[in-house]
Amino acid sequence: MFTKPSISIVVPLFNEEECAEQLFTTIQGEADKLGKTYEIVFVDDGSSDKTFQICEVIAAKNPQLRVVKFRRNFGQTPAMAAGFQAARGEIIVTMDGDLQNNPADMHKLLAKMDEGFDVVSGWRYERKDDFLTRTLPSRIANWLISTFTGVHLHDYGCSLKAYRSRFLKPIRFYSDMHRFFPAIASSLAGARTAEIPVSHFPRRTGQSKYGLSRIFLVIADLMTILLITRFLRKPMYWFAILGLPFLILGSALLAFSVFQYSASSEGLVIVPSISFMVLGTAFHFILSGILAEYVVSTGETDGRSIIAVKTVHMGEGRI
Amino acid sequence: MQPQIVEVPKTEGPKGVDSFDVSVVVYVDSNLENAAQMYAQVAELLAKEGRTFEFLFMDDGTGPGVKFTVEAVHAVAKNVRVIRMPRFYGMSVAMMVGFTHAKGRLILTLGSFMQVHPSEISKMFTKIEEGFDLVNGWRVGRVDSSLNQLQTAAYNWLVRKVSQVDLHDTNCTLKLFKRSAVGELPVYGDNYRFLPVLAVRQGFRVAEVPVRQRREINQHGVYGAGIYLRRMLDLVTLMFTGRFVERPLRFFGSLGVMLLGSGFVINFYLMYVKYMQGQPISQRPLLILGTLLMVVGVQSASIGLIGELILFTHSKDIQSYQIEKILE
Repeated sequence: MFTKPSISIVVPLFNEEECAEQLFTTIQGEADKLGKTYEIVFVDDGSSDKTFQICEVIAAKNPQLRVVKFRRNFGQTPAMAAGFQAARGEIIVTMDGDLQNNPADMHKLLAKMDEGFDVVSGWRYERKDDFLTRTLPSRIANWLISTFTGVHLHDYGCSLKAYRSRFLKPIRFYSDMHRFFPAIASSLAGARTAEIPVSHFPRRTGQSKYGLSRIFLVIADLMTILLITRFLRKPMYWFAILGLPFLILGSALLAFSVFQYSASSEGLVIVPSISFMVLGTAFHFILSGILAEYVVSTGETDGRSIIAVKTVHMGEGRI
Repeated sequence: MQPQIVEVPKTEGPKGVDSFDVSVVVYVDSNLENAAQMYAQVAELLAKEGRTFEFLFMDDGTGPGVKFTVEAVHAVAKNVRVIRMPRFYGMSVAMMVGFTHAKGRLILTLGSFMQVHPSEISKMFTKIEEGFDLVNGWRVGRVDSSLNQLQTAAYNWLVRKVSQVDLHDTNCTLKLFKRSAVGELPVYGDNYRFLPVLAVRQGFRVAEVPVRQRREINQHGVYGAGIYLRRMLDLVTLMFTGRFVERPLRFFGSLGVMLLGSGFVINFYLMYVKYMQGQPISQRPLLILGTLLMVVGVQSASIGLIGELILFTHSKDIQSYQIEKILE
């Protein structure tokens, strides 16, 4: 009879034919030591090499391995999201498919979970990557995410993380969101987050996909995450905040032109026109806020559905 | 045949077992040439190929003349179903309804008149058995007027550029695909015409087969202005559904930054004129333009924020990945 495993280890793989086998045996070796039932979920993100065939062979011999195969390459976040949906364990552990993380660190993550945390993130304390192109940009990004979201971690980019799955299951992740899983789980559902230092190996093969060149995308992503973690609960308020500077500026310009008009009514065109435009923008933000309220109230993946999960969790705690 | 009550189909795949090898789904509008002849030709071909088949005539709210023609075929031929839409819904909706009713392993779609010789269709069957999920017709030896051909060529070139998918004739009504694939494609509104592009984007294997157009068909004269406009809008749709659908802020945000930046440059220049050159700027329309650009830039970015809110709160409907199989 099939029983639900208590831990699901989700690993996205993209063209990892060289280390897929080693990855599986390492994870399996460490997971066996946990003394809990577990499953390993490999998500083959449309690899063009033999990754899937290798996984097939392993899965035939090892019932703990489940493999989700994508039709084409969709990216890391969709791969993680598919893994979350496929996972059956109460706890989901994620890690990189390229052996940059050490599966032995799982023990530390799970021990921390036992202290009552809902999300435990790995912190690559000593980065093994190039300082200028990788470590520095990621430090800046981490600082920005931490400030923006109010969820304070040192290393959002580390894939080695553990979550209680009920915080992930209600949310459908898409696009480049994988850095923000803890922030979203924490701000929407009140998951208690912690982080612990983990070891980190340099990339053996292949090229990193992230670097300095994508700074604009990172900024856009930051805005999005700000929106999800903060705007979602009171959109009207946040759009009003955005519109406030325009309201102040527009009113000041209008007051200035009224003052000028009382002195002399000659040549008074430009300043009032500009003040009207700026006030119009403030008005636009108010309307946007109303629209945003509609959007959030008709949506499914909002704070309410996830907060409901948290309430259940508290009930369990009392029993 | 009772008129069917039509709802816009959901994206779930059609249920049920494959009762036939092929479901031929024919779109029927007022251009219908000769339903009986079409049935006879295609049925003969499929019988020769040794495939079991059914026909579905999707009657898109046509007048009584066409209705009787189609129902006459239904009366005499076997395995023919006529599904009549209560009014004109357009090809996209009619075909999607047809797919949900189809019971074949493969679906062959045909337009209202046979544009190609039936023997060309057998090439498509050969191709799909090579392991493709969708085979699209590519009409060669076009018999349209040269202006139409030029327009079509330009359109198809733009479709290739915008979609980054190397197909020459996405609009060709002649398509053959696995029924299991179509339920997994995000077809809605009017984007059925890009079915092959959607399939490629979802990771299905798509091929195209050149099919020679029939010489004797008499095409209508020159395209009207409407078709130009519609195709322009199609291209815009194609662009947005592909690259930006998951990240509206990346589009609206970069647009906003560009507008804001150019407004900023203009106003900075005016500051220079005022304070360094000592000339008055308050009568210059350029100041209004600069300010307007900045304001519109900010508004564009805020629309991007709303787009992101819509996506996240409705993200259950997003198909951000396609699973080919799961090994348990």
